[in-house]
Amino acid sequence: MTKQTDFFKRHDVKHIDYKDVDILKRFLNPHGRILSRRVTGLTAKNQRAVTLAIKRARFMGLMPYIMS
Amino acid sequence: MEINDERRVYELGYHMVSTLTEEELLKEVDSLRGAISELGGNFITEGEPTLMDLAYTMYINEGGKNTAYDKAYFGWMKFDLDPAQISHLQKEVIDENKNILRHLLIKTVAEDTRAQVNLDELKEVKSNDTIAPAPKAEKPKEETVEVSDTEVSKEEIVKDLDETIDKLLEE
Repeated sequence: MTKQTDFFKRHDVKHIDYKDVDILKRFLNPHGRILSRRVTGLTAKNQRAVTLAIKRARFMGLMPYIMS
Repeated sequence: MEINDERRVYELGYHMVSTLTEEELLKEVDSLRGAISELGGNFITEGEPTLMDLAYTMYINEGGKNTAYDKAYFGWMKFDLDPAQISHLQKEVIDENKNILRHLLIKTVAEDTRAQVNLDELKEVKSNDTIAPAPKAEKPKEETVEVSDTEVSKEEIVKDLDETIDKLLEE
């Protein structure tokens, strides 16, 4: 059996919320850019959900657009 | 709580300006709640507003002058509402409230969307952690020549040399 690479499936997370900043930070590089699916290992559906949640969190000032 | 098919679940996340006092903040949140109730909204869950540092400075234009905010009270509320009322809520209630620094109104589901993940596990790897180099393969041990610690006096060396020379001459 292959190892589950999707973080959300592995932890049985059904919804990706923009307020879960600690989780979303895992999917940013040190500059604050969203990591690609090749790096995150997420399913296409969850990658889209993470991208949307990060963009919402950025808009609400919970996460930075760029990190120095 | 029953949710009709005509109704939809929404979540309103908001930042109230940090200049408000605790009492003013409660009043503002109550008025926001009252406005949603008036439109026929039923509350599902709510996150109390808490003062937080913003990830970047936000500005409000007040009378042609920008006011910067580095902190704000962030709160959220989840409710179900008739979709026809949403534009009214957005334009007449939220946009008119000058104490709302920023808001986000999204469609969501009634169940809890916050992830129940053990945060200790998430701290396994941090972005600023340095990755330790892999342990190097052990090098084969070099053969060492043991050197005796005992000092040999010059007289003994001369004596040995004399003996060997004598032996050679005899031959």
